[in-house]
Amino acid sequence: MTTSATVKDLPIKLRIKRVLEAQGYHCPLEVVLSHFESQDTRQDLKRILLTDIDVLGIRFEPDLRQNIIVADCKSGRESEVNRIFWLRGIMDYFLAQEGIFLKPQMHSQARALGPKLGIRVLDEKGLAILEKGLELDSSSFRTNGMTLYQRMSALWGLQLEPGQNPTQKQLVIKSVYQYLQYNYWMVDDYVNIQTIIDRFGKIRADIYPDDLKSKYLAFVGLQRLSLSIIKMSGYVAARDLSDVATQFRTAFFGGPYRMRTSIQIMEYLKRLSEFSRIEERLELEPPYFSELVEIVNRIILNSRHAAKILQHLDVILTEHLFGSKQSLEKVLGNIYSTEALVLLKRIAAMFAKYTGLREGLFEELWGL
Amino acid sequence: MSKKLRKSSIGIRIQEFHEGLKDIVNYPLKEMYIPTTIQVGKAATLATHLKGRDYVDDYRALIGLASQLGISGLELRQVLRELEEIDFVRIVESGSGIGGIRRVELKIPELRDGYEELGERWLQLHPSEIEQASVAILDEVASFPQGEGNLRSTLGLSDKDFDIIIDIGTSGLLIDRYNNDGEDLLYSPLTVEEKPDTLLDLAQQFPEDLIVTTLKTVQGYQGIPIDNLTGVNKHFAAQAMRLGALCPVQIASSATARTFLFTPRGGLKIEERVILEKARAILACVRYGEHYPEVRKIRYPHLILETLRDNKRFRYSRPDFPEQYGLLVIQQIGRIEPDTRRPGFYNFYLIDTPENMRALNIAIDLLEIGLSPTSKLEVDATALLNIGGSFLGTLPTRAKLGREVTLSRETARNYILKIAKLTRGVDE
Repeated sequence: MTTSATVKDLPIKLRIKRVLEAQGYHCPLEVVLSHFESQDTRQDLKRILLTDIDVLGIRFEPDLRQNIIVADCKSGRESEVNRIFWLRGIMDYFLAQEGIFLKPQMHSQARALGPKLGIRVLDEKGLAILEKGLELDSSSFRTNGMTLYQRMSALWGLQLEPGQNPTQKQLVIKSVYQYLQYNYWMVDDYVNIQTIIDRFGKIRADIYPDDLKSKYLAFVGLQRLSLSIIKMSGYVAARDLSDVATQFRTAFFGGPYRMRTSIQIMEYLKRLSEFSRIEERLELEPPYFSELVEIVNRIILNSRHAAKILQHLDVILTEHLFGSKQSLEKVLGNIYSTEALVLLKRIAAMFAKYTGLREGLFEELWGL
Repeated sequence: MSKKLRKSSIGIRIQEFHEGLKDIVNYPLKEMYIPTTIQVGKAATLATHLKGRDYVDDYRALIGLASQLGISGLELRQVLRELEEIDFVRIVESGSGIGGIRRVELKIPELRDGYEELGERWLQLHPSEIEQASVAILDEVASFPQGEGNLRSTLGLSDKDFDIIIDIGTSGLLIDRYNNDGEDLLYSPLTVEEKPDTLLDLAQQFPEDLIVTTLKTVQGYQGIPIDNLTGVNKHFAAQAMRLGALCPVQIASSATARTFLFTPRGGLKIEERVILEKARAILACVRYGEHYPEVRKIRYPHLILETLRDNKRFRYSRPDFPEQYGLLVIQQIGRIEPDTRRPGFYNFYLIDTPENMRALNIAIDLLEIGLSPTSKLEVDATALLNIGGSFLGTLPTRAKLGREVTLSRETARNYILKIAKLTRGVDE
């Protein structure tokens, strides 16, 4: 996921990511914001890069409220003030409560401006103090964190030889990578849930449990899917805790107006299919809908634990898929929650079942 | 025959077969003739008791719960496997846990009942003709008493097979006979509290279809106010209530008494009947708040009952609690105290006894699925699974006397002949 321009800022990004993770945040790195423009004669959309965020931190409170933090790390000479104003805009876009601006050395005007815009400013020295305060050992991390990042980056995306054209299958897999990396951050969660399950369903035969690259892709898919499901659970919880099924149904179909339209369209399609004698049953709810509602219900009823699902998944990904296979309880300490783990597995089981993905892709998870 | 039945009805009936027969010792007919029904029925019973949990990591406690539900330790793995097949359970294995099981992770649906999947699983296992007929007969007679001769000829079973089914059904207190003017009728004690003569009396006055439909309406909305029924249905309900074919709970407020109706439930022990009566009283009080409130209407009865279960009290005080919940005070289910901060308002507190908690859970079942499995009246899964440390010795155990049953002469004869054949080495 790296570009040469971002390599220089990488150590500091990884450090602030770890600082946030230590405080319970799930932290996707290098989140790219794009604009999608329709082209005149073709159906597909053209992606236009808007900007990218170094570290996005998402934490769920025990009642499923979201706490979002955006961190921007710069080591070059560009104007700190401009960057802080830019960061404020990004925070507003993501509805982030806080921002962090990091630079090895910071001018005084940035220190004065940042807090006025809800942004914490940190230089290298300040970051080291913060790490110490959180009891994070930075010496071993600098090598291990970088190695892990490089391993993950090497496994991400399609790697084609120069001049090689992707096959049709590769193009479909590429669309999954692109969705998770770009589209995901620009669309609503109800769209994300349905699209992730749909797209992974299309590549189910092309990703294998004995291939680490495939597993990594499946785990990132699970991360994104889990994030969207928890966000939607939080949305339902904020509206009406006493009627999860109805609230979730409305949210899953994009709100009452869009749902009404969808129901109407589905009715027309049913009539058409009867006319055309198509035997397949057309239903508005996808096959996984009832299991998804049950999961959302459990997330809401167990919100204190469900808020930690992504933390557990992050550790499974780094420690079990790539790392030392240390016990989850040991790594997470008093954050560990069997309830969170079981809920995560329930999401993964639904993901595997309804996409047709091989269960072995999540073998690191099942054994826990 | 089972094609006519909805899968969810099948799921309910197979659970009733297991629960009816589970306490009978030395009764081989169930294993011989309805093994699939018993197997999936056990899975249904276990699922009912584990619903609402995410996992069980104390397998020893699970063995304890299962044994109270008529599932032996040796059978438990097989029953869990059935639940795995329908994706209600995932077993995490490890060498160190009891039986190699570290944790049983649960995915039992809560927002809908899971009987559809259980019924489907039973069908997938290709139950024998006798099993299919057993489930169909129970479903028929539970709806309304049926003439035995008529049922025999309609089903097209041999007399021997039909007798076996009736033997199994009567042994499990699921089916019973009643002689009405020389005609043998089959009925189910599950839906008739004493003898079916009240229903038969009613059948003289009302069409059978109307009786079945009204009973189903009440089962689908337990605690329905009699005022909600109209026309001939209301007339029937009033008669049925008077004759004991429907069970009323009355709540008097001001000068008006409101009546809430429940379907009857027979075949219960005295202590189970007490719990069921309490459950009906709880649900009737909530229905009162739904339909006849003085202040604010109850919109989500389920939530109200869950709040009471979890917090042992209602969240807010109200002025009409003495009228609405007075019945529960009389039945020693709760107490009402004035709100010291709001004159004229009262708080309601549940009296936290195991019996009251079980009654509350059953009230939730009645609200959700219209019935409560027998085993829920007997066993409290929460108490069994929430104990810390070892299972043995810490549990409130209830000694259960195994019921012996007598086989009919013909069935006993067939059974003995079958054993004799097997002894000779005949492979049937």
